[in-house]
Amino acid sequence: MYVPRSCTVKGCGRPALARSDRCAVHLPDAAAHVKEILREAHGSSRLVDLDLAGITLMDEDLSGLEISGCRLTAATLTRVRLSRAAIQLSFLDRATIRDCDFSRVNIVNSVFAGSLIERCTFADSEIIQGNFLGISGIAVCFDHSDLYGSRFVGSVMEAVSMRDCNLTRAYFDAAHQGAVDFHLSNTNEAVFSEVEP
Amino acid sequence: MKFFSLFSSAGISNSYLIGPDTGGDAILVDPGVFDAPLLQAVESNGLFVRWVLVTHAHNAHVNGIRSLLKVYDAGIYANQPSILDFPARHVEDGNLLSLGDFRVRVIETPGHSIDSVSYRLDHMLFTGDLLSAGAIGTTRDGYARGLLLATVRRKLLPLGDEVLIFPGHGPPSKIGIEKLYNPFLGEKL
Repeated sequence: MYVPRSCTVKGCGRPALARSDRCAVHLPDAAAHVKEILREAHGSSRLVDLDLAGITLMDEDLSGLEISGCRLTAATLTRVRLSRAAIQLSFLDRATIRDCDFSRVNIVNSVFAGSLIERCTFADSEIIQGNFLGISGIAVCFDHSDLYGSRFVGSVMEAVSMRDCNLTRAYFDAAHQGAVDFHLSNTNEAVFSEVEP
Repeated sequence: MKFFSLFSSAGISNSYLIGPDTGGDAILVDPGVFDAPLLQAVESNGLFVRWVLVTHAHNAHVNGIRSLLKVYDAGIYANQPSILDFPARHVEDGNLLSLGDFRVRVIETPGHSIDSVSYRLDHMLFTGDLLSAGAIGTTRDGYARGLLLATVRRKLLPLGDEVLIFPGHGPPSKIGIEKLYNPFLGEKL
């Protein structure tokens, strides 16, 4: 599991990036720093226990990578390929995730809460106990995926496709579902209760 | 620090294994089952379960203890004098447990059950059935529900938005996430 440290710039308080004492904002050439970390990750096929909060990734290929114990809170991911990646115990909360490919991904006990997820696919995936609380999901495809124990509480979903999904123990309390397609999914085993605060 | 989350299909519950990077004595939180995947996680990482932390004495969280103690000489910590007839070291609010190099703070969090406690280890909080992603634990009656909600608001929410929540059931979360999106925390007492 990543170990949180704060940026050493006085008054900052943002998380320091792995292998640095500064955050993604205050580290000079943070992009090169992240590139180097990813280069090593490609060599080992693993990205483990790293704090990468606030980073920006664009047009990266992370497909097939093992991502474990990492924090990518408030990261921006654009056109990143993560197909067949194995993501566990990782935190991609409050992230901005656009045009990314998570198809055939294996996600276990990971957090996407509060993220904007737009024009992404999670099709044909195993997503076990995923935390999608409060996401804004726009044009997202989860078709043919196992969403066992995943929670979409308080999310806002527009044009989201969950066709032929396993929704056993999936929670959708207080979620706004505009045009979500649940065709052939076992919605009877999911929880859809309305909660009045 | 090595950290593993393990799922028990028997109790639909989570157990957590925490040990040093280099192997050695480890902490196991809520062993709802002691099965081959858990044993493999312990052994393949050079760990030895020395301490068992129990968040509350419901079967889904303690049923693995009997088998576990046949393999490992572990001490049990709980807000009960015994667990499954095995003696436990009693913990109470504010205790700081020194478990090897780990320091674990005990937070009494009644509501789901009268013996419920949460454990804080660095930036990680093990909440048992008190609080999980977008949900709260079941309660016996209205009084217990009020107690649970008051406990969460008074003792857990102030811990900091980036504190990680590892619950007894369901996915992990963060304090800040629950503040924003858990619809139950807005309930009037």
